[in-house]
Amino acid sequence: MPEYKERELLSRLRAGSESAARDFYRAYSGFLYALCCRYVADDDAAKDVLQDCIIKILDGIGRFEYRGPGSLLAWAKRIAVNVSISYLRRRPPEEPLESWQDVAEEEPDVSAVPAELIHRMIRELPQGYRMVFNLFVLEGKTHKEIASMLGIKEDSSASQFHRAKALLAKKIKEYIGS
Amino acid sequence: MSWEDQIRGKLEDFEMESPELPMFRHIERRRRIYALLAAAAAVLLCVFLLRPGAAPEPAALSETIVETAADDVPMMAEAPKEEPVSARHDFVPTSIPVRSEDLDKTMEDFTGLSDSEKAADESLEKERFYQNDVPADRKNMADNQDDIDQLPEEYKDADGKGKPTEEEVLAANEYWNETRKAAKKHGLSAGLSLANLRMGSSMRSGSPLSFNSASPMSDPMSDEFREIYAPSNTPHEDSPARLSQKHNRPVRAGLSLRYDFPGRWSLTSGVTYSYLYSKFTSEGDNYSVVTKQSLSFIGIPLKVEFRLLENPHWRAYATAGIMAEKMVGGRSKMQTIVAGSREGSGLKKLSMGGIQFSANAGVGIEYSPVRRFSIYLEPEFSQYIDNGSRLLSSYSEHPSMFDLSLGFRLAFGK
Repeated sequence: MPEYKERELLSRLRAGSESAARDFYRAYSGFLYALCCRYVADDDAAKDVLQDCIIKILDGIGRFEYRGPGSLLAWAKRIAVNVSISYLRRRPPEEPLESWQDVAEEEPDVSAVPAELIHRMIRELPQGYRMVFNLFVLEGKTHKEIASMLGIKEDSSASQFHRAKALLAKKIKEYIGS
Repeated sequence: MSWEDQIRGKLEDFEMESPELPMFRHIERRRRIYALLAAAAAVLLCVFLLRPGAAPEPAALSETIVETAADDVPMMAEAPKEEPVSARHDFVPTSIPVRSEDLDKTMEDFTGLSDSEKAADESLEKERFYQNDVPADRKNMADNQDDIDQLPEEYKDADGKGKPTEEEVLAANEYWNETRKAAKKHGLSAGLSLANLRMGSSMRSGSPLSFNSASPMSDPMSDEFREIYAPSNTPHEDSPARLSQKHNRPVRAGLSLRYDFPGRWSLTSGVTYSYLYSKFTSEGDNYSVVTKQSLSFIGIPLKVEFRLLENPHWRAYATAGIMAEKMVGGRSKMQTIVAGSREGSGLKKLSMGGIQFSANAGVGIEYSPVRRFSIYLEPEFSQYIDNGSRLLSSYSEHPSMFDLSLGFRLAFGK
């Protein structure tokens, strides 16, 4: 979205425009829904999380400070991550089905793997692994920050990340091998 | 590039088809309804434009009367003994002979004309009669004036209980004749209408969602947009301002021409003038900037009407169509108020390129107290199509709108 359009959309959102809310949803909900799905594996739950996320964004639009092109989407994504994490923390964690020792350590080449497939593989990771992997790789958080966000120890975050990475590498290798 | 970087690069802009959320469901549902209405309007317009030359059949009852009155009017000897006459409105005017004086008297009562007009009408009527230019049913009735004595016994009942009197028969006859004529004739009428005069109430722009409609305005915007709606020359730019907007319903005046085709269809077009007023307020701790915006549009509507009910006095119809509007004038007046006193003002001319299209569908009811004059009321839904303009108005902020038009029409040639 061009900068001037982004700024105008922002102004209209702040003025409480219904059409602006609709335009915002049309423009950004695809990105936000993909992000929510990457954290929340259940489809229905992901939709609920997306709705909470949109409400929080529209509610808090007055507090947002525009910092250039793309900043509105970046801010919305941060809210989506927080809402997703809050949702997952209210749910009991799933136990990992596979032990990390059983999977390969070698990093696969993912250049030939479609984004949709990687997205699906991440969704298939156990909840704890998935959260840490998403936060570390895709949100660029440190293990210290992740530990603070999830209420776990820093070591635990690092170990879960390595397990998640190994499990994902195994899935990707299976795909490439097939 | 590391493995993680590759994954990040692939998923950074990854998006999925977003679901329809309950919070937007009613908005989307409403949009779908209006899209359907617009489609229905387009279909009606197409049906109207592509219809075959022959006029559609009028209403079943009217058709019965037309056939009976025009083609199969039996003479007195074939009086409708078998046809019960139970009530005035059920009466089928087939063969009740009348005296021409009575007929003329009743005609006068119905037309409501002045004495001079009646005299003129009488002479014209006589002239037309002798030129054989009188409708067959009227002529038959006049020709059989001497047959009044041959009325069946049931029509001769002195006390008239449960039987129509001659006047009632004539009234019913004339009533349906008028209905038949109205259904059969072409007609042109001109109208003047006003919409939303008493509905100029404001529609405060707000979302059905729970988010705040006021917010700090410290962020930059495009120059043009900011110049109109969020002035940068506020006295305390560093203090947070809150922007709110409200839009009045468009006030609209229109001149229209309506052409009634035989049967049930009519086509209406004309020219409209619409006035849109909006007020934007940017408020800080001890100051406010009020921007009053007024926009003028000239529009050309094109509508088709389908007559649902029609008689000499009433008409109910459904209408659908489109309208194209061009903004012909616009200005915004800005007033800065600091600590209760006015400190500065500015005037800016506004322009809007392109055409504002809308699709409209509604119903109307029309009452004609006297011949050739009628008043009407038309509630109508309008869906305004986004034309990409950056001006905020009721068209952009409330694209689905309910209008109420009141007007009158003068008919020609009927």
